[in-house]
Amino acid sequence: MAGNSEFELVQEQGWRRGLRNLMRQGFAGWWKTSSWWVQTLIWAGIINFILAGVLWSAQGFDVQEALSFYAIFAGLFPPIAVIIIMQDVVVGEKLSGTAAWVLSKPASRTAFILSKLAPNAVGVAATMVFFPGLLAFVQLMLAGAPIASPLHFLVGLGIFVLNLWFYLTLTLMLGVLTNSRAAVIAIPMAFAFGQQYLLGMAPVLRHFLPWTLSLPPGEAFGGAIVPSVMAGVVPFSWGPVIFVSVCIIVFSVVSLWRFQDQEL
Amino acid sequence: MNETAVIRTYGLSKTYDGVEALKPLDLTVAANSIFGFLGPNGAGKTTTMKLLLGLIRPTSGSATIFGMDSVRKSPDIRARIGYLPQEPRFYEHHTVWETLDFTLRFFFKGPEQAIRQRIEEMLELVGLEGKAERTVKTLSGGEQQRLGIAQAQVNYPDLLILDEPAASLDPLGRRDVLEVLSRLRKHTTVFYSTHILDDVQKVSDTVAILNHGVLAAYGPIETLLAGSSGVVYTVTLKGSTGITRARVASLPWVRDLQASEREGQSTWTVAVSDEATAEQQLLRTILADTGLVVTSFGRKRYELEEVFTNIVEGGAHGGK
Repeated sequence: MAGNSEFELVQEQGWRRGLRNLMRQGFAGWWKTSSWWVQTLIWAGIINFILAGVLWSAQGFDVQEALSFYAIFAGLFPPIAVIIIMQDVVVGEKLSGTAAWVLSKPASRTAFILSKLAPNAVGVAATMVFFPGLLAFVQLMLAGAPIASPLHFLVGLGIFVLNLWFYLTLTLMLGVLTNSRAAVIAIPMAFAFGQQYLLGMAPVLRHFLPWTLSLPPGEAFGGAIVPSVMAGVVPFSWGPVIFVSVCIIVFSVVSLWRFQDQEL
Repeated sequence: MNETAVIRTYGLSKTYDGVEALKPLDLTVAANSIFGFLGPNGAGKTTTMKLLLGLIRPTSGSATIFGMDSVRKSPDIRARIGYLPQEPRFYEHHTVWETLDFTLRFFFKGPEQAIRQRIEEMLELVGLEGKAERTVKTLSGGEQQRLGIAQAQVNYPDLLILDEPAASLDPLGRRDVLEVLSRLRKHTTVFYSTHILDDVQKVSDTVAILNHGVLAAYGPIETLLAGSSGVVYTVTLKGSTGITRARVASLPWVRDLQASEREGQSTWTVAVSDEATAEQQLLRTILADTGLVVTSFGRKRYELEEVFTNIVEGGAHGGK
């Protein structure tokens, strides 16, 4: 390159090529814009506001049920937002041409996908789980909810994060595999809402489906996993946690693998 | 840069769902040339560029850029390339400055002062210095095109691949782009596609014409403009031409003579088989008829548009 002698050249090679720049831009999209506080406000508004209403306004509310209520709000709605946020991340860039533009620079396809995965994974975990979760912890403690310890509560939040990452990686993978925006949003949505019917048809699925992380698998089977963990009670099964963790890895690997051959 | 050929393709082809977008292509682009890549819509120009950039994979054949395989060494190649897509699409929430900064940091990590200075140079080059803080989504089509040209050059590329660089620009913008291309010739090889044939004729030294995925003509622009139908003269005359026309047409070294009449003047197109004899005798033979006035005489030079139209509409022409 002529005329570039005054610059320090980027030295990344192989799959790391372009990673630093792409990550920088991915994280900036969350933390150097209004995204982080807008999302935090939305989720604090939804989760903590409703929780406060349940804890302090409801007549005859049994505080022993507080963790289950919290798990429903914190586990049911954020995955929908994650699907909406992620639905355009890869497919939108493929269709608009920005992916082709970025990959005409010295950047690896692995770096491109990782830059979609990591910043969004951190962004949704912080704004949809941890920030509202901290506030919820204070609310639940004040209300006298049966939290075993801050560590138990933190592990519960970690399982919420896995739940979000399940939908995040599923939507990302679909964005890699197809160019149909409709498919990318419809399939995860259908899965998110269809699990309750699947559980009704085949109760054994309670050992796998992410639904049971935050929502009870059915009256006969006890409470959901996260409220049990937060209360220091052994959950009915660790299966969904394992299943969701494996799925996150599989969806991520498939995304990275299939994007290598994508024609842009 | 020591390479004499920057791009070489060897039977490079691409098929989409059974449709051959690009038939086996053999092409060489010399270092420091401005290579015009022409063809109607759907001819395979963008496909070729995307193949060179590694954005799509060839169905058969291969290409080397800077002597490196375009598939296996794609990131190393892209580190030395600047690319302007046909319809540039950048992140809409980025400002003009952020777009150039983002692009530059794929190549250079510092120093910050040099990065800032380079961005300022690029903004000045494309006339966007007053719009650095505007977001991409607020730019007009022409401004986005200028930004595209700036980001393509920001890394001091050894090879610029430009897909329709003058599209969406007004005549002044086009002129500026052509000036920039001419100036870059010293440091950079430019491989660009366009529909604006006049621009190609002004700045290119080599031209390839692609039609329906097939390389229809390829060579130095002078060769292409000279034509493949041999040496042809055009003569414009006043007066009664009938007898002289018959005499010229009967000369043994005249292959063909076409005449047309317009506004009291005759224009002859004379194809000859013996250039040296024609040079000495053609004008003399015509002027032997003292009743004729020759208002112009010269060797026919094709316009690129004529060459292009002949090729695309099925005629044969060019230096391939």
